Amino acid sequence: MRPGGLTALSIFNFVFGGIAGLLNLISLATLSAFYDKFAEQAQRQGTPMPSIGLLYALAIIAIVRAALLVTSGIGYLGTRKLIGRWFGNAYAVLALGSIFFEISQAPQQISPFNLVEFVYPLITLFLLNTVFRKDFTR
Amino acid sequence: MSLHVRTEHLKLVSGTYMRTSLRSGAGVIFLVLSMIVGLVLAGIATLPVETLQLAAKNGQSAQMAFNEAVAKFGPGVIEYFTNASPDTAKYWLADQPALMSLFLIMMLAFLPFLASLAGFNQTSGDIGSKGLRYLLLRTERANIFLGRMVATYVFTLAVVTVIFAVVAVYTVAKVPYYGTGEVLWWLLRGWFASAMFLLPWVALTAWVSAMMEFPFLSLLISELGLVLWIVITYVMGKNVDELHNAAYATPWGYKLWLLDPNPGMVLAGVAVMVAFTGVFTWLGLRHFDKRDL
Amino acid sequence: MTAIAIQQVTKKFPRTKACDEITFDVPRGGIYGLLGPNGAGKTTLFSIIAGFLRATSGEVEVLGCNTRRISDLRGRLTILPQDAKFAANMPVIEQIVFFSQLNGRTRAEAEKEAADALAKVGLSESGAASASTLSHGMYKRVGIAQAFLGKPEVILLDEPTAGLDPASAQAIRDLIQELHSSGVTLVVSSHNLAEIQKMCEAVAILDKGKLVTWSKVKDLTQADKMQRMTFARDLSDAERAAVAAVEGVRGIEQDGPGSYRIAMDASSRTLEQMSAEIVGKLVTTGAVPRSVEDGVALETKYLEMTAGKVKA
Repeated sequence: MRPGGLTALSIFNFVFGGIAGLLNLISLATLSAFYDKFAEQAQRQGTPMPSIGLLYALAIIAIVRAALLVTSGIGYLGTRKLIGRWFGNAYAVLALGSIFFEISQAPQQISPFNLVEFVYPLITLFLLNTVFRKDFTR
Repeated sequence: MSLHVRTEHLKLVSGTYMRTSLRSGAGVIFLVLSMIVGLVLAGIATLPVETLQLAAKNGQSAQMAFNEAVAKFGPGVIEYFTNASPDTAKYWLADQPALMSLFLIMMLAFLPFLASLAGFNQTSGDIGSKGLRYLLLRTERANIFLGRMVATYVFTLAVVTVIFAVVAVYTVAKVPYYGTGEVLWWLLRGWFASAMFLLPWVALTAWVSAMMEFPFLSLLISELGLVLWIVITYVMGKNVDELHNAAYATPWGYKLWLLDPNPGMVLAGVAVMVAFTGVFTWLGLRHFDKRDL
Repeated sequence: MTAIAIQQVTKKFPRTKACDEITFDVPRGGIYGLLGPNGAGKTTLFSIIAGFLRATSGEVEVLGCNTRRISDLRGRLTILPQDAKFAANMPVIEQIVFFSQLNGRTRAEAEKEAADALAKVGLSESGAASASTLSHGMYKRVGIAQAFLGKPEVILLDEPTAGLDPASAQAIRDLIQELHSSGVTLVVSSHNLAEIQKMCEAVAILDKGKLVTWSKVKDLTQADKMQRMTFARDLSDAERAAVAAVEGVRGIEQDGPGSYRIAMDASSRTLEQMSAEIVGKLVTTGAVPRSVEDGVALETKYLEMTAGKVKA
């Protein structure tokens, strides 16, 4: 038996994971082409610019997060313990960790709209470990 | 109307209702969407800072530009959206963090819609499906009505609290023009104002929900009613005083008393919210007690 | 002592009068039936007794308590409602635990009681399922399980065996008898008249919102005054005379091919003694009864009283 809330959560996972995955794949592909231009602009404004290595690392972490989101969404639909609950928790922990890492390493990259990326993992952690804890039976 | 309320039953009904709501698709959708909307409001409020920082050549000129923008545009924006007095506008713009004031004003305007979304199905769905019949011989109707109302309020306030907490962390980290203490204090006052302003709207939605057998109708009347009320009193009220004054027939007209510089006005605002809550709760309880379930 | 006292109860809806000045008392400690065609007002009456609906006029008391203060009866009156839905997204056992906690049990006690209740109705394995995934029969059994929670003194069962397979229906009837033997008063509504005739001491028959009769089943079916015997052929005049001559037999009447109603006076002899003598006499002439029933079938009386009309 899969509660409606778990279905809704899986759909949010697919949407957020899909969008984030796509955007970060594009970033990864175009970073080297546009890095110099952004670095020049930052220098003019007097704001620090993170290294290209750091930006690559953040993009890769974001893609891993997106993959975990989509996979765990599939797991929610099947009420599976491993790819559902545990992958979902892994996504949430990774997401919270990486957002704190981003704040410490590249605070200028954070926008108010990233706040959703902070809140959604919290919601996921809360729901997976309280409300839906007993629903992952397979 | 018998008002035999049992604390133990209130807790049981509230807890079960919250769990059932969260397990439903509607509950999760509400949780995620309301977080997103709340944070988008925060984003809109703090966007001027980002824009000015990008446009300025250095940090000092960005701060000067920011202060100039607040002084130039702030009073006009405040007056247009709130009809506040010049003293109150000055309090919000100069004495308190202006961007947080903007966020709080938008948040207060958003809260009635949030309450309607959270509470439209408190009882109407179960009235239509007759699911309440399993409870009616086990507890008083008042416990069912109040228990669900309390659960809706607590859940909605929890969502609002998370939004405020995230906004506080973000503002302290990203907006360099305000001290941490003043941001936290003003947001705490805003959180308190939100907690008080939420009360009567949750009670009103509980009453509307108790009147309807169909959740969709309950949602429609709550949300549409709000939109119509705002259009009539706020938009059309700019030109017609009587319509503007009609806002005072609902909690909407008193919301900004909760952010007033005068503590007496704040207390008066709290009293008004509690009074409206009492009236709506009594009306809802009375209807729920008498109706066929 | 009265379990349920119904006094001039009327319930009007915008386009119909579902109950019309219904009055009768249900004594304590028995099993009673509530019958009527579809739309007669049975479920409405149950709903008024349980406090779900407010009567337009009239009063109902259950165990001496006016149902306008139904909460005073908490735990003493339970019901299996006909159309009520369980929460779709919650395991059924969680919902039964919740009901049990409302009855005053601690969480641990409620979990045990819920497990026992589901076991009694044969649903131990289905506790973790949500109500929306259950078959109609299983759904009904969960409803019955919640009606049996705690120690109720009066239980209203609205069509408890409708939609159940024969084995489950029999199990429910056995449970009803078990509760009856512990002193609980049960009122059962059903369209299975054979079941009602077998289980109930008395029945109320409603039709178009009115009470047609509130009678003991024995009196309605004249079970102590009559037997019906059926034979493979019609009896000859001599055989009929032989039956009529048996001491205690007041008359014999044919009511169908090979079917005879024999009126008896059981004041000096029992029905069994008389029917044994009748059978003994007829066997010698080759007329062996194919069936012997006490009284008229409840279904026959019911159809007569409600004119056998099918509601549109």
